[in-house]
Amino acid sequence: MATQVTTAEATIRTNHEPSSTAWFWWKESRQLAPLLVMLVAVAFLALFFDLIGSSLWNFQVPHEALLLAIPGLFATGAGPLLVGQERSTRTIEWLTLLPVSPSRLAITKLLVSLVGLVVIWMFSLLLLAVTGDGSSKWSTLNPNDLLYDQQSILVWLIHSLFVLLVGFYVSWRIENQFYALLLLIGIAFSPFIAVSVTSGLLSRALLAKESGILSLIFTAIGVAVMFPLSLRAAARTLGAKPAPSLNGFEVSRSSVAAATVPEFNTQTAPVIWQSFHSAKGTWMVISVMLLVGCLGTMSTPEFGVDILSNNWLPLFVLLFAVATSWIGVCVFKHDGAAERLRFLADRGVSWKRTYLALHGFPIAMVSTLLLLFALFNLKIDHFNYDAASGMPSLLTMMFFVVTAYSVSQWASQIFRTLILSVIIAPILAWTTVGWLSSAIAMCGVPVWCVVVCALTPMLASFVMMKHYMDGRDRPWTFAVGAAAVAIIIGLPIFTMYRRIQAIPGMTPSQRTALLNEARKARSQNLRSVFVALSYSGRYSDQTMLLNAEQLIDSAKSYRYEPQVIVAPLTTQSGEPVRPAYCDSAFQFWYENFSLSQLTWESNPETWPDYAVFLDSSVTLLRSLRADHHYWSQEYADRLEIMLLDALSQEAIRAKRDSETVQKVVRSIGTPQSRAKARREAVLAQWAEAVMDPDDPSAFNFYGYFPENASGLAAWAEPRVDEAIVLALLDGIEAAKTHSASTGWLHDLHELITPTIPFEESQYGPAWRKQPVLQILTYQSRFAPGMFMGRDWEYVDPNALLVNESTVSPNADEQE
Amino acid sequence: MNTMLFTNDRDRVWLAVVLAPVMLLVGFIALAEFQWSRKDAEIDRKLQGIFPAAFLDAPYSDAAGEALKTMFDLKPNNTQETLSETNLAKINRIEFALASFRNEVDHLNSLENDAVSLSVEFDPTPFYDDIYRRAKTLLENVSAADAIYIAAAPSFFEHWFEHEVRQGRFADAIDVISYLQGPSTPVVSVAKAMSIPGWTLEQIETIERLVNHPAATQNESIPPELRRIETVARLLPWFQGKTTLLYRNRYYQSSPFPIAPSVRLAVLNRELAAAEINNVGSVNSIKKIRKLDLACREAIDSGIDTALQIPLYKSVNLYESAFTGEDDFVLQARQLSDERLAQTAIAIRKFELMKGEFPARLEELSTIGFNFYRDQELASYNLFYQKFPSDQRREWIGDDSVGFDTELSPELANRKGWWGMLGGGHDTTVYFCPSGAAEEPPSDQATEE
Repeated sequence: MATQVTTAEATIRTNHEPSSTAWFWWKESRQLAPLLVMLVAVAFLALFFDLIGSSLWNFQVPHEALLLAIPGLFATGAGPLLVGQERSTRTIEWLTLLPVSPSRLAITKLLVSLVGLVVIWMFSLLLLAVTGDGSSKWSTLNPNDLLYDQQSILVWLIHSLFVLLVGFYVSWRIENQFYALLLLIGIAFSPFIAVSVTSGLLSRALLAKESGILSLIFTAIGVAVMFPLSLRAAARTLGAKPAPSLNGFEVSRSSVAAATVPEFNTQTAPVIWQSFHSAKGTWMVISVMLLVGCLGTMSTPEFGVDILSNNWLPLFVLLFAVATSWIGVCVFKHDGAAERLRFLADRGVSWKRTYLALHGFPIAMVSTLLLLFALFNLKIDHFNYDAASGMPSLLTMMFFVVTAYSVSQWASQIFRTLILSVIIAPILAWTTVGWLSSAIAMCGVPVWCVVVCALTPMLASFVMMKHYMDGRDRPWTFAVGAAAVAIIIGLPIFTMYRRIQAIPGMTPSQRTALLNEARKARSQNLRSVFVALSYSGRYSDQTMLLNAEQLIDSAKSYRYEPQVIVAPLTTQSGEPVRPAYCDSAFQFWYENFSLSQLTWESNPETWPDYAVFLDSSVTLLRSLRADHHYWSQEYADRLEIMLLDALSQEAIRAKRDSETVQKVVRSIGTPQSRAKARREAVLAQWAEAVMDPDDPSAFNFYGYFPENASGLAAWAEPRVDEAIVLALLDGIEAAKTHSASTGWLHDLHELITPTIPFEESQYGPAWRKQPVLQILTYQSRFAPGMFMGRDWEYVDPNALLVNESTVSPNADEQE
Repeated sequence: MNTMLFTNDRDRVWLAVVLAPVMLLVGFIALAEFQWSRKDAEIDRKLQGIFPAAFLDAPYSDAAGEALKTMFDLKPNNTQETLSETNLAKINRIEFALASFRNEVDHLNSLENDAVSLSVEFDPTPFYDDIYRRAKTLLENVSAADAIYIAAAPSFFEHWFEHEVRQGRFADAIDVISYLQGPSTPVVSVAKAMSIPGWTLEQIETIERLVNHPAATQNESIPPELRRIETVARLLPWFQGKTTLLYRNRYYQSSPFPIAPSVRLAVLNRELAAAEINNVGSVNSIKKIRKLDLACREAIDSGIDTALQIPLYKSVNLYESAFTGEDDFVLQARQLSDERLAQTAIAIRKFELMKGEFPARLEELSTIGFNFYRDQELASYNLFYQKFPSDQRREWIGDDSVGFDTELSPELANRKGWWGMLGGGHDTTVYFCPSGAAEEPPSDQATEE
């Protein structure tokens, strides 16, 4: 009889245990989905900022570090999410009542998270394959990189599995999700700590390959250890618990506990008290992290120099950053926070008051941190070459901390679970800080814009507070969130756009007309010849000198021979002039020309040498004027000034009828001819840049763009170039008509030399009064158009030769 | 309704816990802002006490320039302002022509270095001779009045001087020196030139006149008001907070944000105090500028308003060339000590020419009218002098070359008699070869200073 009953009962029990846990799989998958979706979104967000960074500032995030960290984050969050969520929603007990064995429940959770891990791994690897390795500096996958390690990808894989198992283990063992997460992070590093210990025992540093293999071994051991441990922990948690035994001590303890609940008269103070009291351990942990992070950073001498050169510095900074973010997370996500808010809402407590009260303690903590930072900086020497010299100011630190806090508290309101908030909030917060810092430091975004963006999340969480307290914030929270994201990303971009648009560029019709004119001019131009104005001589490459004879030969042949330099430009009579452009060694030409001139003036028998120089100067001048590079026109101006000065000397009047001197006179242009050549050159060179923006030799007048807006240079440059072109065309026209207008000078000053006062710039009156000969070869103060419109342009070369009282080309605007 | 009436102690404690840090932080920022305004006003007051109002409002205007000239009776100190246009152009041409010679000299220098690298013989002397002959021809047409305005590279003339001394053409060497005036005189080369015998007394006296100029009291000859103007005027917009200097920092090259008045005021006070320091180049002056530097740093660090700077606490590099620093004083001290070395070396050679042997001690130079202790305090590098007999030359000098880093001729290197050694200045040692052969001195009778 008993056997039959037992058999029937066993049959009944067996028939009642479901053969399929498909519904449980579905439930767990739904629970895990938000983490998966958020991490995918974070990956795309990071790639978006990488795209901005590389296109704006030539800064790339190492894709490998980024994308392989995503599975790591998933592994960190999966266990605490699947188990911790059960604890916070009190469904653990419900699970224990299910007709499913604890081990099956645990294994199902594990398998679901394993599938999720595989999915996220496939996603990351696919993305890495598509986007490439970004900055190869950190790559362990690039065979060409020093960090290349064949085992690294396998170590990453196995380690993520290890972290997943640890996550489950700590979540089953520890009720408090925050402490569970901290323990998880600690255990996750254990294989690498074991590798370091091994290295210490061996008393030598390990090779990359050895380190990789050892990491693999220790991680595999970890997996083997953690798997049964996590199942056992699950069984203990999900299994039947012993009945609690009441004893007098416990009864009295609970009574005492009930008696010590503090009394308040206001509604605000108890919320403040509760937000502190319910998470004392959490605040303690955060405080320790802040302390270690700050002290460690301050004591590291290389702070502010090269953050990666010190092994510990990144860790200290990370501790500080994460702790700051977790302060914000604790606003809405301390233990039992959701129930308490619901409790307050049901009792009609003002949502505004609650909002302020919830922020009270965290903001007090942040303020204390900033105050201590400010007082600390009053005591240190900021002029030593160490950490202190790169210390951000109080305002800067306040911006970092407030932005991170603002985003983190908002993230903690949006995400339902603590684990998601704790993992995602620091990423979002410091990505936002990075984005806004870059916007202000490299894109010239004004301070007010950055402040608005930093406080937008606070506003968003404030706006949603009422609904959040009522538990009815979905789906509005996503709409408000989207608006907040749009402001944080869009507002800075909008100010950048406005800044670029404020640059006075060309109108579309102007652009079209000028481009057409440029094309027409270019089509008539011959191919330019490059001319090097340097010293000629054998063995210009001194690495070819191998013996004494060659040294002597080099010394003998080191001469400045203008006729050799301009030989490629010589044409037969009737042939068109060959356009030429030269290097920036004009001062050699002028130095040797001066020497030749002075030598002839003291020794008339050297006239043939001087005539060669004059003749060569004429050839060079004609070719430069015919060229369509703008800088050729600048050098042509300088050559004309030099030749006019030569013609103004008394000694040359004796040679005025010589063929050479007449050639010089004929080569001097008129304001009209110069204006034509300059205009064609400006437009041709600008058109070349428009049609081929990637050509590095194209139009570049070094238009000034402030360094804090250098990130916008790629977009601003075309408009700045257009503005410079327009100003130069105005100047060319003013020079042609000998106009007294100075508007073009002011325009060029604003575009090219705005960092110094106009009166001190090359376009200002003081500089334009300097004798042109004195500034002829100045390289460091070279500014386009600085010689245009000055009196030398209106000197008649014939008058210089015949008139006793000549106007020297050096004479200029006088008072 | 007074909410506080409805609080109990516990409420008040927790409200205080929350509000106190925020209020303290806000108070700190308010205090910093207050200090910002206060120190801005202090800077304005200080500047108003130095400059006329027209200059402060528009420093680059003509009216400002006139106001300054009237106030301080300024005369153009730029020599080129006194030249006519024609002379100025002529000077420019000469400078450029000399620059062409410098290019050739530089090329020969590089070939000499190549010869050393290749360990081959290469004598550049004929080429140098050619270059300097042409340079001399060019300069013969330059009047003495115009010559003083030539600002061509002093290194070209220094190399020319050394070349002439090596060739034994002392008269030509003196001609080269005469093209350089004042601080451009290559005093170290002159000092080393005294090591080579063959000078006549007349030549030594000519060099003495060219090199001997008053000690660095230039600072004192300028009225204090003018000194303050020179140091502060060129940085006026920065002190007024109207512009920011570029500062060299690994993360931030320039800042469009204002610099705290604590910083500007501390630097202004330092500049004004530095302008008051006399005897620039003396040991005391260097000590004073160091103290000023420390005081400036402390003042900046203790300024609360620096907390409101963006982005860093450190907004300026005190060692920028725009500011007066210890290096300026140290450079002056080195220049003065080199000059003193040259003057002493000339005096030693002159003593030998007049008395037939080198002095036993530097104090003996007073017998020929050279006061060794004059201006000693101005130069921070002490001189030391010793005599030693020729047979101890190798022991004293070793196998190293003497003079201009070239080997002495065997005749000079083996010359018998008493040699002299003068050391000091900025790491310079001069070994004096006796002018004429003498009897073999006793071997163990080196005279020490």
